Amino acid sequence: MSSHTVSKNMMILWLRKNMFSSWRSALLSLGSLWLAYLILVPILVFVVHDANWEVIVDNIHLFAVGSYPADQLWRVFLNVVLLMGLIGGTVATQTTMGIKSASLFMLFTACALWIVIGGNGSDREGMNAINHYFLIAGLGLYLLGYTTTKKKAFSRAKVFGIGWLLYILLSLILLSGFTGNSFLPKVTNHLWGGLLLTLLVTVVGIAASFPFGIALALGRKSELPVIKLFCIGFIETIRGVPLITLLFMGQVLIPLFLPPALVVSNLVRVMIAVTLFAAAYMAEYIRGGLQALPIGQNEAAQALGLNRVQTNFLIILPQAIRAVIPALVGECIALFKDTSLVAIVGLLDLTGAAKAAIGQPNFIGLEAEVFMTIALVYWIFSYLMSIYSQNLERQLGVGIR
Amino acid sequence: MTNNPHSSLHKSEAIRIPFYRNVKMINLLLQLLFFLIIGILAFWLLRNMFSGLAQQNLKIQFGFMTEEAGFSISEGIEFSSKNSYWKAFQVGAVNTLYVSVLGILLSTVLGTLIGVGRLSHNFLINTLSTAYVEIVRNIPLLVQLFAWYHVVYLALPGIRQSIPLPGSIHLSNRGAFFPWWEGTDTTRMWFGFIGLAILSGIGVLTIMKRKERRSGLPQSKILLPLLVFSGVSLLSIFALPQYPLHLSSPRLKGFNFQGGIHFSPEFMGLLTGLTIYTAAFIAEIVRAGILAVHKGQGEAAQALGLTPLQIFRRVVFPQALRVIFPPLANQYLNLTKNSSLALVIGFADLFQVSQTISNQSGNAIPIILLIMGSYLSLSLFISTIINWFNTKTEIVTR
Amino acid sequence: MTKNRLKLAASTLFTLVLILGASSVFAGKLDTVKRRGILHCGVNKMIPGFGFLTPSGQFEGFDVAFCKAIASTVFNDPTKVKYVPLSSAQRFTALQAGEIDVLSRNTTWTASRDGAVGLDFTVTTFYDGQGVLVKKDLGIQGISELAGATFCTISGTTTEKNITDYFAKRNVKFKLLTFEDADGMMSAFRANRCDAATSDRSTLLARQYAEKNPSIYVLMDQTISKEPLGPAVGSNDSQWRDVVVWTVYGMLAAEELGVTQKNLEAMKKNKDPVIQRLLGVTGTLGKGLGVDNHFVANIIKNVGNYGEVFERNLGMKSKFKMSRGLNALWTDGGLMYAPPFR
Repeated sequence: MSSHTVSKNMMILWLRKNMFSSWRSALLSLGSLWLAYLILVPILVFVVHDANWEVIVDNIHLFAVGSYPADQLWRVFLNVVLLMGLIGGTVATQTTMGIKSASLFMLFTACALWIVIGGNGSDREGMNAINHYFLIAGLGLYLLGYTTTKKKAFSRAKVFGIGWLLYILLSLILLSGFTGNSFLPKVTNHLWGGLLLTLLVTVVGIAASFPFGIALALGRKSELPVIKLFCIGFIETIRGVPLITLLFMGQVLIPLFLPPALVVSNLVRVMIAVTLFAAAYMAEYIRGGLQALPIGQNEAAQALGLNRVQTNFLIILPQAIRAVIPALVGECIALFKDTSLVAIVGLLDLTGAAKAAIGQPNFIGLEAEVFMTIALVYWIFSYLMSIYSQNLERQLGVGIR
Repeated sequence: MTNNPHSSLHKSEAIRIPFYRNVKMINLLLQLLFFLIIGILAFWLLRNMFSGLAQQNLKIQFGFMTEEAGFSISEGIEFSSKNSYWKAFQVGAVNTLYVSVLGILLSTVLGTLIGVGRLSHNFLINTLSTAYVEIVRNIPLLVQLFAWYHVVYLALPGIRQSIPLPGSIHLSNRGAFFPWWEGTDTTRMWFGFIGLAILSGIGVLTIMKRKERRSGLPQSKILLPLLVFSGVSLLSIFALPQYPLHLSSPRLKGFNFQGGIHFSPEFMGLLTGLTIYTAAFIAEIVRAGILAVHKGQGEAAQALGLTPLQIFRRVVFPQALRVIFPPLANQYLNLTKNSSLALVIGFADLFQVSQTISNQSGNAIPIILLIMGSYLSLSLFISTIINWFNTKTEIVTR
Repeated sequence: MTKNRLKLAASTLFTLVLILGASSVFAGKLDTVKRRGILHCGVNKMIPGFGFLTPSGQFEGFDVAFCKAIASTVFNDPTKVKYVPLSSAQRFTALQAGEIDVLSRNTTWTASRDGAVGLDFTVTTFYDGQGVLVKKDLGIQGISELAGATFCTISGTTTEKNITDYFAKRNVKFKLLTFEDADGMMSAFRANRCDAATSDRSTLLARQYAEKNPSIYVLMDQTISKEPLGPAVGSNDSQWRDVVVWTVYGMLAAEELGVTQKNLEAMKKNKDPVIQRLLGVTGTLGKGLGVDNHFVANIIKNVGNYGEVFERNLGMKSKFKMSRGLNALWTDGGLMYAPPFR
């Protein structure tokens, strides 16, 4: 009884301290409570009561993988399982992330990836059980990746440089397959779609724009005027126009620039545009890192007899990039969100799939359900990345000065 | 060679250094090589393009822009289908500027509020502000725009069931209709009086400035000039034979409301989406800016006996602004560029109108060049302002 | 510093390769398509009946059937098509840039498009006119009663200009809202954002039947323009244009001669020399076009004749129940007329 009153008193004390410390604070508290009520209650009522979630259930295939053939889905699943292992390894490189937050991260990631794996069971008989095995395998591989990276103390550079690059290559081969191969028949990339395509454009965009961004940043700092001018012009032009312009340019100009015999698919053109766009931004972040380096580093390297290439790649860049890693992760999140624009140029990514689902005769007028769902999916992934970025910031001590 | 400090000592040796070990020479060659590669690549790409275009009898020229447009544009400055493509392009550009300027103003206000809210000691305000930032900035703007337009603005009741709000404002899915002033015969005369009012306001200001300099006592330099200005401009209304402005309220007539001022749902959807999205980023910038001001600064000001408001206005804010402004201006630039997403909800901005022109005339490449030129000059304009501000607020080191 | 020289040599070689690559001669579209092994077809994904995406992600519809027919002509395989969904605003640049080989996406044949825009039209596959869709409860009888109303339409189309002309001629004010695609137009119209939707009658009818409650809408009888729709190809490639033209004519001629998917094998043995030539049993009509001599037979086997395609996607076998109207054969009082296969 007494402990009850104590806790009650504590609560009142807490409330008084944090919400009603003065009449102004009290007024603000009440006002914001009212605002929260106004916004949250209609949304809750809608989600629980009014919404027709059938549009999501029926179209889960479209949202997850677009038009990827149903009998080849195991390739996507396998991809996801490998991705889980890699994410486990990546999380393990975070020394500030304890077991607790690592497992929380795993739970979140698993939930997000369940959309791709588990969700597909609903429309194919027999796949359901297999899906669960894939999900379990994914969780297992996550743990494996986590523990091995922890035990062997793989560096971040190793996990990113080798693990992720290898994964991107492997997943592209796995997804596209080969013509005439019975085990991995060709699945042309115009069939890829949904969340799969969104993630793919993001990952390829990040991987391709990173080296390109480094080259541009170095070029901009170069003392050779021709190279410097070119890099400045390139970076400033790209940063000065909206991404959508670049996407349209990719649509119109790339096919015109290439000889008629050389046809690149829509997806590749979009990837080129996204890569150019992200590279210009990455270059500016990396340049910030370069500028923050004391000039002594350069001079010391020269004094040791290193040549220009050695100085840049062994001394300057590792330090410069380390200083701006959080900003680069921020750029990755931005890139992930920006991939939604590829729907405007006709790709069937997550946003494109949402638009297609709304256009279906059975589900006309269900915009709220569809947009809410894809917003949630986008949010989960961006939020996971931003948690990772905040952790990095803490570990590298960039934010604390 | 002059780079080498030993050159004067070993001149005879230096001459014998082969050209491929000469730093200057290598640099020159490298640049030449780079130039050649880029040049040849560009030549090859352009050659392909021109041969492809010639194959289909297409040319790159801007002459078509003077032809009659033949389509209508839903909103913006006066435009008829008889006007040229140039005029249509201008309509789009003005619409882009319009939505961008309003978006910048609103998102700055909202972002500052949320940013300060994130530093609040009030638990609820703090939590809500944090939730706002974490939710809004992690969802793509495109999805948010779709949601605002389709789920919120189009779901408002139809024109005949429009929601009347106080002040004869009408809200429906045809947009928001506000009462607005319309000019009468004496409007021009009144504008003359307003000019006079501005002049007298400035006059009072200069007098007070001189007084301040002479007496050394700080004078409130805002109140009196403002009073003089509003006094002159208001009194002149009664001096005129007829009121210079007349308030027109929107009334339902035929298919639509007539009179007053009208914001279409497309415009409001875009404006809301841009404002909400950009405000989340501005909030983070404002928060970081305030946190960047050293704690001791506030404490020192407190010790000097300044009130909290004075501390914020005179000590914290000016210092925070130096940190805030550059990334803030970048957000303004982002907002302007993001307004090109108007395309997906049917607002006639620069990009949407350009797409229509490109399509109706079949001239894609000149239009792409025009769009890029427009956005680039906007960016250049904003980055000039950033640079100007940076030099202006730089801490002068002695 | 031999490294630098090596670099120089390598880059010179690289540029040489580039220049050589550039001087490759222009190949005709037919050869390009054959070599590529797949047809790139620009389609719509938002007009039920004409071009739309099924829940399993397949493209279907009347316009899509012609993509399949062309693939049958070139490869005798209707699945060898890569569908490129395009918005109205994207479709011409996609064709100009060579991204697609043929545009089969409810595109109106106009002089400026045939001339200045850089495309060549082939055959009209669907005679259409611009119509106006309104809600029944508005109680409107004719288009002229819609003065001052707000119209929704799709941007970058002929309809955008026609409706402007229509009201400009009558000196009447109206408001036009343009959307990127049919979905945008319809969701705004459904929500009463505009009083009427205007587009090709076929599009409007298809979209009306795709609504949850089609009976609350009414498609007005008046038409305000001629909209002949049909496939288009890139300019100045007559061989490729011929392939597309005769693919469509083959389907028309087959209907006229009574060749259907069902009776194809029997018809191949038919004594009529006209049918024999059409199906490639005798003569070298296909070879002359640069494709398989049995190309019409392949189309009929894989896709069906014009009438069958119409009935399946738009006519009595579909939910739209469209009558043939102007799209009936000339023998039935329509405008569909194939030149002789001779």
